[in-house]
Amino acid sequence: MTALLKRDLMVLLRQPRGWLLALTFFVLFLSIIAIALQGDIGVLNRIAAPVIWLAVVFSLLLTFETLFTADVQNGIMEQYRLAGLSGLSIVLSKFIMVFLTSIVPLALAIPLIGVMYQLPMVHIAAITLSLLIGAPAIIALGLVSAALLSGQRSAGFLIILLTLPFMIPVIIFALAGINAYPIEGLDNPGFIALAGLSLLSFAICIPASSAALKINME
Amino acid sequence: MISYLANPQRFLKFARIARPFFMAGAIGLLCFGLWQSLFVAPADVKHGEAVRIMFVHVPAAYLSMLAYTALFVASLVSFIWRHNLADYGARAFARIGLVFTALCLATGSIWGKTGWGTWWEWDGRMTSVLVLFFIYAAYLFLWVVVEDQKRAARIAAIFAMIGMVNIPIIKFSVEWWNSLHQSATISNVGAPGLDTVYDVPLWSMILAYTCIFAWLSIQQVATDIERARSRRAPQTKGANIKIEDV
Repeated sequence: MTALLKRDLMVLLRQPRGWLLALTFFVLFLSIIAIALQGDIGVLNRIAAPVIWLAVVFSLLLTFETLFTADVQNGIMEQYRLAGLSGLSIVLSKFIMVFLTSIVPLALAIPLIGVMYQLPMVHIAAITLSLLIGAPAIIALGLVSAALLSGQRSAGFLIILLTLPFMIPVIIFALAGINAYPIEGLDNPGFIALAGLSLLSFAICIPASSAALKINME
Repeated sequence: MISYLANPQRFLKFARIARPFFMAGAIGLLCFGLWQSLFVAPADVKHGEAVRIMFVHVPAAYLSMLAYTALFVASLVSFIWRHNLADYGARAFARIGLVFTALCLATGSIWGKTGWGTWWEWDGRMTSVLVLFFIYAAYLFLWVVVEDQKRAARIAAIFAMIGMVNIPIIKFSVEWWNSLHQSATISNVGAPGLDTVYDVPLWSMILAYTCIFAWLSIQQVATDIERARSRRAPQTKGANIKIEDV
């Protein structure tokens, strides 16, 4: 499992295209929105949280297309199977890898966006916290779509289509939590529900991804 | 019963009897229900004539969830036993469910305009039904995009089972979010209940919709069986070569 993770991380560090692309997309998307709104700080402040969340979701989902397909195509998945690795450990290692290489850079980029949007400190903290709490849900839901479509050659668009319906409650509770954070603090109902969704999607999606990978190997 | 019908041959035999039965039931009940709801049922005190939208809206909402539950069961069966008929059934349920979810959203929107003054409101129930619509759509896209139909069946089954999470959310969204949408009047224990004048048209419409669902899904599954069979049958006659020709 640690060896798997190490290998995944190594591949990603040597070929940083994927997550750099996501990070660039994230910052570019948010800049474009600010430019399209002609730099109206009042409006930007109001829509910052939902827009940042959408940017996170889309930039993550765009990278998920290549999450399994490369490994399936060059036969590494087959080797994993022959080596007797369980699907669960493959999926879990991908999960941790996505968290380290996608969520962490995006979370670090949020203060930068906060400067661009002139957000107050507490707002930046709320958005970053919501991202960290909701991250397992986003990754798990994306992971299962990626695993379902890992046998497909061009699945990028469909991954987004499969994942977004399930992302709706995540986004709803994340934003409710962000709005409540300045007054009620961390243990507000929105964040609690978000944490619940994270645990639930983790519990459902990790075994489901493993099953989906197995199907695509048959 | 289910294991009896799991044989395609027997299912076709069953379909030959059941299809006309449900078709007749659907048409008969639909005529009766529409006559009841349009001409017999009186206009409501609060909703006025618009109350008649209920007779097409509520059954559609019920069917959108029934179809998903059926889709879930079929997917479970397909995932465990890898049975072709369950896949055909699941796909049929999804197609019908998609249409009735759209119908539910459309009629609800029209009713919303007369009742609340807006076509659309982003509250719990409407949002979750919209999510259901997208899940149906994504499910059907999976079948289209994944070319290998055997694999598509397995993948779609997993997706459908994950999507089941949404159904309780829809069912209880009204109680949880206390929204604009009124809560279930018929099924809640202790609810005021509907006037008996509305009972007859509503229940006959619900039955009619259920018959339509049964009719269309049987039809679809039978068609899929026939199609698979015709694909298996040899396309051209085998070449008839004798030794003397060579």
